[in-house]
Amino acid sequence: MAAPKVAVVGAGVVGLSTALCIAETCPSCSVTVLSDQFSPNTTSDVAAGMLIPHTYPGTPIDVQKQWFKETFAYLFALSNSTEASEAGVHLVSGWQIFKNTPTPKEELPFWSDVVLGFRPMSEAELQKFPQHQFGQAFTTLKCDCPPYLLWLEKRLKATGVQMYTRKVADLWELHSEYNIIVNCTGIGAHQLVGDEKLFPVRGQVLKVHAPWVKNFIRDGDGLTYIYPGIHRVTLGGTREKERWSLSPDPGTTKDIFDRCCSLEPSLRGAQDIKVKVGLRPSRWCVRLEKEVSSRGGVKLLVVHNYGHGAGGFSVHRGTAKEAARLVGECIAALQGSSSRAKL
Amino acid sequence: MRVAVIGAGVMGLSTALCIHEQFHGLLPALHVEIYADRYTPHTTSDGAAGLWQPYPSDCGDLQETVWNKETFDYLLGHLGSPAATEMGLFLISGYNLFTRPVPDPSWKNIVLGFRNLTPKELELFPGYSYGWFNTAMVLEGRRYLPWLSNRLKQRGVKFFHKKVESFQEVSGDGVDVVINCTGVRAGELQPDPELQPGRGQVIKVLAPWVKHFIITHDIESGIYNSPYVIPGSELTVLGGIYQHGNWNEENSAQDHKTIWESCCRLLPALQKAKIVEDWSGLRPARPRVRLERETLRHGHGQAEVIHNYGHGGFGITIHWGCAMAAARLFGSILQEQRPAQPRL
Repeated sequence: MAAPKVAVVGAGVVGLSTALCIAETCPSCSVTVLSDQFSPNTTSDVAAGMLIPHTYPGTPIDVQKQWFKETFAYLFALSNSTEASEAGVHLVSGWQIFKNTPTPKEELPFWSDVVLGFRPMSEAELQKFPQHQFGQAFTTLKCDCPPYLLWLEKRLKATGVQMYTRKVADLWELHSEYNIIVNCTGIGAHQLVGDEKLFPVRGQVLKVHAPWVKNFIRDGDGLTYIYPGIHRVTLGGTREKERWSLSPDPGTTKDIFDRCCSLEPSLRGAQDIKVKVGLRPSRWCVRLEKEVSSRGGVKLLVVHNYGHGAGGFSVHRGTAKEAARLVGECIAALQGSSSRAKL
Repeated sequence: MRVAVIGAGVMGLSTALCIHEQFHGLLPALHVEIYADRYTPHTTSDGAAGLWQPYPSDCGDLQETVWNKETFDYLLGHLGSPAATEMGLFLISGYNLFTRPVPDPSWKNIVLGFRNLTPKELELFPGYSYGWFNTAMVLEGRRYLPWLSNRLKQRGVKFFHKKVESFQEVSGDGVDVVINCTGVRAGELQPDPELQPGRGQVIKVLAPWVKHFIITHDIESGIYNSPYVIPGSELTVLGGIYQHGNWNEENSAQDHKTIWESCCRLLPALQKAKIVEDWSGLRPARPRVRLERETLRHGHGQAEVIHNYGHGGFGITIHWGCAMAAARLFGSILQEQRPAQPRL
């Protein structure tokens, strides 16, 4: 069999990192990225890129933890290298605070031993947040976009991966050009493969200039958060299930700003407020699996890697590696069947 | 009552403000004047990164520890105010790194969330085997001094651009109390062999991805002679120079090289940082802060002097506690000068 031809559909953080993992693990493969959107117009570009995992109800916790660990380790090394600023990856410390003490109080999130220095907040630290009873302090990583996506694109080009702007309406379009299709279309999978279990969770955020904010603050309810990036601070947010609108909502903008200012009053002086909307590609569990479909005797080999919801950045490298492994299995199966065909 | 403050660094301006805030209500005839040959942005305080952090090991001076705590609490109280950003004040977390275990500092309970570093965190800093993490604050001199100046001008405090050559020069002119906040050059007004310059040099860079302060310590090299990285609101300060007895305020190419190489070794990501400027300054180093009254007699009479200088590399850290202590000394001067009140 000639060099396997792999098409990765989707150029958000999952598509690009998956393409990179495939190129890394299968040097003989020819990998192409196809997407109707590239940075700065992907869902990933709206996200703050904080490594604070979302919990998928339908994925075993040890699997999610493994994905997070791998992603964290990968970015940790990157943050401490000379490429850190170009890749937009940096450490950030801060607090997750709760208005009511979660019960039981001692319950630790599954990722508490992966992030750095995780511990309960002291009384003195909590005084900064008079409406909150309890909190956790830790240090984690942030992937700023567009820099991270642009860095991935640069790495891809260096390994010979081609990238094309193309709207794929049906995965079957690709079967004659490519041996294996990797579906990293995020929220696009709803239409592309008709996945009814995938639904948008609309998030509106503000990206503001407030360079004196050096720590993150996140309300444990997940609705209010302040994430300082390299040039801008992301203020959030909303989690609106089944809402598809990508238009910013002015009332929501004011509400987000007010909620964030109540946690961090100095934000009143923030400048140049930009509003963005993204649709988290949410699902009970990440769809990370092979699918073989047939049509008139022709097979279509697809590896799905989508449905990361609010946790894309947190697990992207871990799921990309798993997807690359599944691609490897597909290639082995193809080579097995092609050598059988030679007999 | 005329009060002349000599020096317009963080000490001079904050002491003037503290005294005016506390006593103007009681003494409507209180006139405070500032005399200095250097104003922001040309003072020592302007070059400082402005991180609130005392030396890792104090000499057991409890009074200085109290002043540090008073300053921290005062600044913490201002964090939520609308003035914070204009003052150049913000919270920041970060790392202190050591090559071997050290005792906890006297200020561990003053800062927020003080703890030791975990092994995984230490992986970030090869060559360092022990360290602390805590949350403190930065108060940028370049913003704080103009903010103080504005508050003072609003209160009617007068500013004079003048090099004062002697205490008599101001006290002989009808000034009742002189506040000596002349920093490293206090010896020009009154010899003080204990006061020496602790020359420092820094490189200010654009590295907005750095969100933590990182201070390394090398017991052999001594304080501040080991690399440090302190993010400001716009620029990041790289440092690690402390030269006792060196009066040279010119930037040194050798020091630049030392700072750059050691900071890039500490944080490889800095290699891509854009260098904006170098700056040198003289820390007013002294074994102990000089904060005391002195009565100076001269031809016509006497003047009261309150000395408030010698804060080394921790001026920002200790300034408000010292300003309040100086204000208390001022209060005691007022008490002595009031005619005795008959008891009813």
